[in-house]
Amino acid sequence: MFRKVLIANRGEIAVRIISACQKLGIATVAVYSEADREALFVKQADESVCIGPAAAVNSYLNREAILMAGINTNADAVHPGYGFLSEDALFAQMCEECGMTWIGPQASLIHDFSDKTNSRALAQKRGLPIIPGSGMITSEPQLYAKANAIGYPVLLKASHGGGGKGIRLVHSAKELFEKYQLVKEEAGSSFLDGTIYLERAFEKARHIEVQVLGMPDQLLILGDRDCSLQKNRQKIIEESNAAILTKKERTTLYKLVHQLLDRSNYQSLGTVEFLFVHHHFYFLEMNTRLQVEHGVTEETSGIDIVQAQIRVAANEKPVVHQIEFTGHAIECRLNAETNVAKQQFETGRLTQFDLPTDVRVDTGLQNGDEITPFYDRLLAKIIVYAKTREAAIKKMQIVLSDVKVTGIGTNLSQLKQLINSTQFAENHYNIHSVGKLMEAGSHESYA
Amino acid sequence: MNLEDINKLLDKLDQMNFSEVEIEIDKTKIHVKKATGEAPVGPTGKPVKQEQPFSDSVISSPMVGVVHLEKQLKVGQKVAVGDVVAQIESMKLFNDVTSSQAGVVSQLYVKDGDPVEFHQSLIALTKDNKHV
Repeated sequence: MFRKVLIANRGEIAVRIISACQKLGIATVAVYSEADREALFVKQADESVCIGPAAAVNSYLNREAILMAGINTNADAVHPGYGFLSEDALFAQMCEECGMTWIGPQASLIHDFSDKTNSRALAQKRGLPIIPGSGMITSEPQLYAKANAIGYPVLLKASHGGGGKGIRLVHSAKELFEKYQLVKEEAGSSFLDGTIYLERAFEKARHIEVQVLGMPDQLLILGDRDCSLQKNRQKIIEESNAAILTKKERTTLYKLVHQLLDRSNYQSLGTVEFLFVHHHFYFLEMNTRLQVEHGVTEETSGIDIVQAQIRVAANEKPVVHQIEFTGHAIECRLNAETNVAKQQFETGRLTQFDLPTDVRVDTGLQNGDEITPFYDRLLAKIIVYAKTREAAIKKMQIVLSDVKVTGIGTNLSQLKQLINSTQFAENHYNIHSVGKLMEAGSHESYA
Repeated sequence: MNLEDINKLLDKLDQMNFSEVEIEIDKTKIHVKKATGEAPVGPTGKPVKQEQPFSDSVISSPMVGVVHLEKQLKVGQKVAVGDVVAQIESMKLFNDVTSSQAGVVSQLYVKDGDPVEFHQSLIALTKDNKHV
């Protein structure tokens, strides 16, 4: 097992990884930007190294600074968390070259599966249905021709995007060029890569994903999640398992995952994402890393996913026998937000930060912390577990009423609205429901 | 600037992320150094020793790495603007650290070969005409 793990991340996921390391008896090194000097994860880690100024490009995306921090502190492994450098094949390779084990799949697998264009091509080659789309767009005339061929509405996507960044819905040729420039710009600044492709946009689809853990002799499937409730393509409510799937559909889904990964000798944690439209699955993308919403799967499977991921990276067999899924788990992402209708980024000091204490809450923040404009807007993940979906919804309704945040704006009222909606209770929602519900909500206020 | 302006400025500065700043507005020069509620805690949970030397400026590390001080650098030595005072080794590359101020070295915070983090203090300088 590792002696000391460097966590190349911040916030709640750094806290989560530190806790997993502590349980495994591993020392931890936090790296942080000047904006995070007082953050909880920095205090919780055994050692900490300031790696740069607030801007992520000079700190959490600064490969050399993070590697030097690892070398200076004698870390023997690097956990990248999610976002930042978690799917950066070059960084994975550099870690190994510096003598630190990368807690993730090897660089070549990141290249194959994390890059959306590569993974789509591979999925198609292995017989998985994919969403009709274009290859890489390299010129403007090509952009128009491909969009016309696919048919509007289309999605413009950055190859290295994720978490809703670098994606735009385009309704007509008129909008295309403007949004192309926007996505190209976003891709360049957030993901250190500027390549773009097109995809057909489906109106009524569910986002279903499968959690996998690859081990030397087998690919474990750790269940599935429904993450269809998204706002601006960012997941805000996730469930485990996906209650909408029939037994037969689930079998088909898992077969597709095996079809994609079995021949690749994938030995790490990963998530394979699909769109589920009219009882058909379309391969969307794969994330070769720990996912924000891993917690709901931990609740229903009883497996500590982060510990299992670390054990696999250390060539130890995780103690996973037959996995039995029981009950239902729901996660709500409490985000900083000024106005639900305007989707403004809110910053400021948390003057009150009361979260439920009787259910699982993953957060990297404490009362009095400053929410800076440099990173993501996630304040806390509130996770409930109950025997049935209905009971889990009830529980979430109750715990959300215990949440009190002042000093900054949040999406709390929106979460409450969604959790209390008939659509959610009846499990009749799709990837566009949040936008539509919010629209309906705002109209009601005028009535 | 009147007292009210200064108070407003201080309130504003209090919300910003820095530890020390010098501002000059209309011939009014303000030097603000923030109190850090508690002593910084080191890797082992023990307080890190606070270095409070007599200095006019501090040269800090521009990056994470290993510091290599210039061999001849000693306390009491004069440094001119642009002088290379140290190098930071990062990923086998040596990056020059130059002084942006002229002065006399009043303290060395690090030893040759020490690992350093971003913005870690390396060398304190006092103005040329002062006693060290």
